[in-house]
Amino acid sequence: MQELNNYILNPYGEKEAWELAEWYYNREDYAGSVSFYVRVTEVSKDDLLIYKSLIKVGLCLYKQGWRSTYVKGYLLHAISLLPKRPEAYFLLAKQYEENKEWQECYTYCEIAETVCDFELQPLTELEYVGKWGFMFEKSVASWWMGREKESIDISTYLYENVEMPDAYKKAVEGNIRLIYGTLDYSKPTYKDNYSQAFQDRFVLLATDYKKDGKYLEIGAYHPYEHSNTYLLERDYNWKGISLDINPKSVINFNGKRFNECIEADATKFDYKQKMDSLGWGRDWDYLQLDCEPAANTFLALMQIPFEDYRFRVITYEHDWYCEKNIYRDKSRKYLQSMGYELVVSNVSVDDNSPFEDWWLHAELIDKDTIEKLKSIKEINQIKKWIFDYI
Amino acid sequence: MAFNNLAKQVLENGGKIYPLTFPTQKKTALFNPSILVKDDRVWINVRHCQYTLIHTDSKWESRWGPLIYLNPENDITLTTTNFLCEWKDGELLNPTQIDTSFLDVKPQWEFVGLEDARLVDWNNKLYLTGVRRDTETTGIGRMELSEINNYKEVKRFRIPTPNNKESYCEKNWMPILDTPFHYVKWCNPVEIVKVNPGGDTEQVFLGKPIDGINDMRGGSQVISIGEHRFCIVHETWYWRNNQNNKDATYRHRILCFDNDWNIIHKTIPFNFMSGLIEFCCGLAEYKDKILITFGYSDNSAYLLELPKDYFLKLVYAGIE
Repeated sequence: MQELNNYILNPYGEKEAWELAEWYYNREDYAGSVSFYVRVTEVSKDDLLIYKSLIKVGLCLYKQGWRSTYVKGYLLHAISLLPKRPEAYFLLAKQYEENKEWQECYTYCEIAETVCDFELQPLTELEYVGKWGFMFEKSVASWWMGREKESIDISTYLYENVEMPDAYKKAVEGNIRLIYGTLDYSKPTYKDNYSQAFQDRFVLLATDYKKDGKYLEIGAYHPYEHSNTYLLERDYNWKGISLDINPKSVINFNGKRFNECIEADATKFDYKQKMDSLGWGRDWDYLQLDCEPAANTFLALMQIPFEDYRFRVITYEHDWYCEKNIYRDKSRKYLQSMGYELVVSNVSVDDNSPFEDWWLHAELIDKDTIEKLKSIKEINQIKKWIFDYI
Repeated sequence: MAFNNLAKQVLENGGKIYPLTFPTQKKTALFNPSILVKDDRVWINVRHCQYTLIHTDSKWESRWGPLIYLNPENDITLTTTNFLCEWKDGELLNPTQIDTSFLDVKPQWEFVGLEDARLVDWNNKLYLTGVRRDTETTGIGRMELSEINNYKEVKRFRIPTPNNKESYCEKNWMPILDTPFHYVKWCNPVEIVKVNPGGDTEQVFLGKPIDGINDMRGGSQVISIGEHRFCIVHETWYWRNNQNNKDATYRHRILCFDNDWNIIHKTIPFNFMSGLIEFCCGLAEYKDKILITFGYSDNSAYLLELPKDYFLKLVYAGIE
């Protein structure tokens, strides 16, 4: 075997050691190759060759699995040798990403983007994908660090602007689908929606993006996760009252929101007294009804003082998909009798889970808007629907 | 005086070197091979381990020092398995992991399996003989003799020590291929023991120490060529560097014994191919050649093929 013979004849030659290491590496005999990459680091005066060998040692250990600490050690050696080269930073960030060490992953990407000379010929044989690789790693790390907006922005930038190998492309597409439910994400942004099914966007659509609105939220649960009112409060300065029966949810809500959440049984609460005491006027903008189970939502509906107060928008959760209950029909009859018009029926986040109806008040919302938004179906796959409007 | 690259010498004198490698599941180390010629066929046992050794004298050592075994982070054991293969036309054929399941019990220590096993044919039975350290929680090592039939370990005998029953680790005894159940246990002084499978071990010869030799620990099997016997031993140097990290080097010698077990020739110490950690546990005569198998840096395995005349010249005249 020529590479071995050459090495034997000159075991302190950097070229000979490198070629023998590569012979083993290409056969996926990573243990065999390590010793000879190490020999290169011992005998070579060529910093670039040493750099490549240190990275190859790291890659060998990586490919053997479960040697993360050692892998990182050799990549750090490489960085310390040629800190302006990007390859070792990228592999280090990738290693941190795989270990779910998001902050370290993100930080090394940032350092690399700041420090590296990207005009240098990239060493793609070291599994370095190019400068965009740091963006990819940041898109993953930033998501898990709670920087969702940044993650989404990077993902969409990569999707629209960068030619990537299939594995990366699929990962980016997967991330976008996870966020938007579709690759056709151009209209709404994730930042502009906190609801489970774009209810907040629907309320804004129906009220023409009203500022300083008023809401009554029955069944608040979380201050912002799947919240229909968080966006309204935060970005549109709405005031409102929320109710929830779970004391922990109420404490959490009030700790993170400015608008109040009351701990109460929504089926027995005296809404009229509360709303009277607030003195916010007869016409409110939004009523959310979402209790568990569907029977309680209907009982809560019965408590609302519709004779005294009107709501421009109502979202009513009947959970038809899981209970096949009578309350969808009963609530529809009742709300119609109170002057509301069913505009979006059987809202579903997928193709098979109709759980909610959306209503508008026929006197408080103009007819054109009602007609424009109207979608009466057995299933309204809401992601498909909402993109036509936002 | 030491010689740093026996393989180069061999290549320049009509010999050859072959890598001994085959795909493994975890892409981990194949090393310390042993060799045996039986019925004109060449058999090789290769040790496999999931550790990866990094040994360097450069400034790019690991944070744990110049000599470090890198284990998987989910497995602290150093687990050895053995692969038996036929070697033909420079290639390893049909590498098959020895099935030890019939005799395995739950390991009690971190070093698991039969290490540095030498191939032996005694009384027309095939054996692997090496050290096992997993039977007690303290890591006590004893030589074992495993009978192999159709790639399966069918019998296992843990060999008692001949005299010091309290010794911690007995390893690298060199089986004498033409004298069943006899080993050269140590070479300075030469100590020969007879193993009685199922019974005690007897010391049957103890020579006189040789001055000026560090130590001569076992390595290959002991084979006979003509009227003499030969083996390859190793000498070790262990130390700690200024950071108190361990370091080591091994060097080898070929020894030649007369019929009375006097060492009549010994080469100067050598490395096979300039590695600081190399280990030999295979030596065989095959046609007009001598075959030596050795591991390099505990990461790879090789077969060095020497013309027999040249081998004898090396031993009788010394490596120059």
